[in-house]
Amino acid sequence: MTGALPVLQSNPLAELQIDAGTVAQAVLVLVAAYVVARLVSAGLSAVAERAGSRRITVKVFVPLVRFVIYAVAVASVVGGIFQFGSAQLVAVGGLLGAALGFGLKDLFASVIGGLVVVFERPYRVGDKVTLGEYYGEVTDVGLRATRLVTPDDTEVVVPNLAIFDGPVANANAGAAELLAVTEVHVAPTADRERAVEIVREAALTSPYVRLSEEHPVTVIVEDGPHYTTIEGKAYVADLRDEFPFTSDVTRRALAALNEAGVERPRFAPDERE
Amino acid sequence: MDADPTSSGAGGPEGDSPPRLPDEGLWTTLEAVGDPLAPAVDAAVELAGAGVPVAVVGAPFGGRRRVLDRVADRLDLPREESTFGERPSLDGGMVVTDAHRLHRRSVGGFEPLDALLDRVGHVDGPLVTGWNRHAWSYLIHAREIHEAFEAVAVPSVGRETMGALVEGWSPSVTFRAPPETASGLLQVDRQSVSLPLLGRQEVPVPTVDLSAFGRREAAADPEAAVIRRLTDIANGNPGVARALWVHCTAAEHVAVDPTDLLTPVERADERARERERTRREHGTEGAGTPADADTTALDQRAAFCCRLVLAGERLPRDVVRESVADADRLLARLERRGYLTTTEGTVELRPAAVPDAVTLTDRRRIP
Repeated sequence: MTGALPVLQSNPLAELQIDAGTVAQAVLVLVAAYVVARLVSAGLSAVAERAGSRRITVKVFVPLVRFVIYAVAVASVVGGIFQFGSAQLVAVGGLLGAALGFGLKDLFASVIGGLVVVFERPYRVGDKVTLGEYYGEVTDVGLRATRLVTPDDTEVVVPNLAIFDGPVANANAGAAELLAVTEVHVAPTADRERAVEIVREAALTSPYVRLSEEHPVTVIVEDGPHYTTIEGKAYVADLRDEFPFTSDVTRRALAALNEAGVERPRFAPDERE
Repeated sequence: MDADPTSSGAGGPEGDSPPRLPDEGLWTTLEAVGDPLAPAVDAAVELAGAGVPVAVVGAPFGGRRRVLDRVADRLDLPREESTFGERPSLDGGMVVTDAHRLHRRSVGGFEPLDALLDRVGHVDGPLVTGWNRHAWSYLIHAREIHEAFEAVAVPSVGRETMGALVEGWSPSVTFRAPPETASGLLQVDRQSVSLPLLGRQEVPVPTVDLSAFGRREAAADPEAAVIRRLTDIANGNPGVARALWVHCTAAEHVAVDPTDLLTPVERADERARERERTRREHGTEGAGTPADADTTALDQRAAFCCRLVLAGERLPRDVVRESVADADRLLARLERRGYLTTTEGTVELRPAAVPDAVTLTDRRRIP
């Protein structure tokens, strides 16, 4: 008895029975999951668009439902088709760990970010958010990335790991209403009371304004050395009306200021109409 | 504005309006069947007699004018009709009808209303004012008008009263169950959806038609079903109910079933859907103009325009133009869909379309 005990080494993945048929089944399940997820998303989005003020409430379910569909598909592939046991899962976990170490960590972080977005909900589909340097309406929350449409109609794809890298500013937090701010400027010597009343009335009479006890119109005056800023703050009933509202209020307020002879500053920042 | 709720029926889309019928005593009939307006009259008289400024607030065509007339008679007060853009005279105690006309939704448009609010506490005598409910709710937030007046709401009527009204309007009418052609709980609708790889496609979508339950009940007791539907659509508003009844039970109807009760907007939608079906059958979709069946296609400005008319009831076209750009085009769209009628210089809410106008504008949360 001189020999040492043999070290038993086995490859748990080698025990898997994977053939072309199994792979084809797995691919079929994943493709079916993709198609179902797209169909359900399209259906829910269509319903949401017809739901008026409850649009965002319905859209909340889009990423959730899609996540459930993909989770079920992956579980069926892993547990049902490939029939991974615990040993194989540990082995796959090891492979994944290695892959992460070799450069997939951003992708993995984005996927984790996607899960955080789905369950913690720092923002939802339909919200207006600032992610990184981009501001816009969230149109899709995927597992890897979030899609925004900016005010100039550009679609921006932001990896979900952005929520770990910096703050997320959400302008409406799931509500259909959004606080819109409009600014006009008058000369420091101008009749401020009249200017405030004009901006208030322009906001109150806008087709886009939302008025209730919780959604009042407020006007703030800020003094500066060269001009006084009159800032009108009001809610719009639908966050998509933010820019039509600010444009409408600014345009009518400027016209009324001119008509009332309220003195305008010689130098002032641009006022967006 | 609620003296004759049937008079705005003419001139509707595609000439579907019933002949104008004189409203012979809607309010006297109402007073004969329990007088549901009496508590509002009594409350207004009591408050005004005690020197409290009163606001009688009611839905369009819901009896507000009748309440004001009765209050004026009881207190022997003169009446003053408000006009858009003009300050009220307020020479002593009086009844000011349609006081919501003292404001326009434009910059500077609140001036006559502000003048009224400034003088409310100094009028020498009882002051009773009448307000459209939708304008009132807007002015609560825009001008805190509820601080100046004690509000008295014009009540709606229940099914029992509505049944008595219908009997008074059409003593010889009979009621029948809805036609059997009306299908069951599950319907198949065709909707256009965007599919991956296939683009936009029309697919059959199963929908649940909850009104099927109502049809079963209607078969058991058609009269109760008709009255229930009339009360529900009109939201208990007798003027709107009267207009709907006249609109839906034109001369040829000797027997009425609940499916006959459609608002002008529902009729316009039905016609539009019919046109869509015809186009689909002939394969000419997209060749013509949009069928207009989808009320969600009315944008925010059109809905706002509708709200102006809902809150003003009858107003000069210029007042609408002042508040919304492109008003003439928007008014034409709303008229085509059955919400209102227009003449050269005036825009008027269709009484039977009040429920649709409320739904359209409330859904978009327009104040």
